[in-house]
Amino acid sequence: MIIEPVAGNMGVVAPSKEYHQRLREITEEYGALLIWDEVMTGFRLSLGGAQELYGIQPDLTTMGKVIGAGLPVGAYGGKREIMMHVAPEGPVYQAGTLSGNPLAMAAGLKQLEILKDKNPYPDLDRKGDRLEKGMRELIDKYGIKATVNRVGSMITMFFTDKEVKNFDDAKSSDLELFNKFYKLMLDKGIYLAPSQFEASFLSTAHSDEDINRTLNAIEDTFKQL
Amino acid sequence: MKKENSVKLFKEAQKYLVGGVNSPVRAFKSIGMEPLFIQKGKGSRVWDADGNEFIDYVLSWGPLILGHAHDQIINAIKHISNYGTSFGAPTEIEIEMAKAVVDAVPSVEMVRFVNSGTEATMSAIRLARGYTGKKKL
Repeated sequence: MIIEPVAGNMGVVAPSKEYHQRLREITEEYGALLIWDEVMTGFRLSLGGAQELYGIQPDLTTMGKVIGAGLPVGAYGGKREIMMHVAPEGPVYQAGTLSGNPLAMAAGLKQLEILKDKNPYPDLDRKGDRLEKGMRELIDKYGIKATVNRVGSMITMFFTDKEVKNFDDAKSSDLELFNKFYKLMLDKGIYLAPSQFEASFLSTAHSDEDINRTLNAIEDTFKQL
Repeated sequence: MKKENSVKLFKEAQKYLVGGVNSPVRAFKSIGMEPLFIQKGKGSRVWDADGNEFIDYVLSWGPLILGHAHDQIINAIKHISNYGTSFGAPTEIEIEMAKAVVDAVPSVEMVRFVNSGTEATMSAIRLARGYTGKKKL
C-alpha cells in the first residue's frame, strides 16, 4: 500500500490523522507494507517529514526533492529488517551508476544540515499562513468561487466552491478560471505551479514583502476575472 | 509581458525534445500557452529568457526550500566537484548523508540513495513485493 501522506499531485489535500491511523491498522492486519511517498513532504513539512507531524510509522518511506537541494537525489528507507532484503544483503536487486554520487550528496547534506541547524519550519508555516489568510480574505471580498488548502509551506488555491477533501472535489475545479487566473498572475510577475493539480511551494528566501506583492497581484487579478 | 525569446526557444525545443520538455507539466499544456524558458534564479526570484522577473512558487517543484542558488549549497557543490563528480564506488560523504536522513526521519533505520523520487518510489514498490511476496499494490 503506497500513499502520499499529504497529497501534492492533485493539489494539496491533507487526510485526517484518523485516516492514516486506520491505514496503518489495516496494512498490519493483512501483512501488507505501508509505504509513505514523502518525496514532496519529506524535509519540507518538518525535518522528519509528514510522519513526524502525524506520528505514524510507515514500513518504508520514499524521499526526493528537498533531500537533493536541486541536484538529482532520491532515497528509500525504513526498518532495518525490511531494508536488509535489498541487494547486496538480500535478493531484491536495485542498482545505479550515479546513485550516491558525491556532488549530489554534498548538496543534499548541506541543505539538511542548514535545515537542522536553523529549524525554518515554524517561520515557513507562519509565511504560509499569511499567504493562505490573505488569499481567503480576497476570495471572500471578491466573491470568487475558490478555496485554499495548505499544509506548512505547500499550498493550492482550488477554483471550486466545494471544500477540497479528495480527488473528486479537486476535479470539480473550474480549469478555465484557473488558466485565466494563472496567466494574469504571470503577467504580474508571479510564477505559480502551472496546473490546478499541483502544489505551490514557499522557501526561506520568500520574504514578507514577496508575500505582500503576491497578495496584491491576486487582488488585481481577481478584479480582472 | 515580453515572450519572444521563450516562444522561439520552445519552437526549437519541440524539434528535438518530445513535447519540447523533459517532464510533461513544464510544457504548460493545460494552461494553453508556451512555457517560459528560465535563465537564472536567486533566492525567491527567477528570470526568464526575455528578462522578465518572477517571484517563484514552483522552486523546481519543491527541492529548493532555501531558495535558488543558496550560497552555502552552491559552495558545497563547487568545493566537492574539484575532486571528481562520480566514482561508482563508496565514498565517505554517503555515510554522513545516510546518518543525516536516519537521524531526521523517525521510521527510517537504513536507507538506499537513488537519483530521483520516481526511482525511489519504484524501488520501494519492488522491495515491498519482494519482501511480502504479494503482487498487488
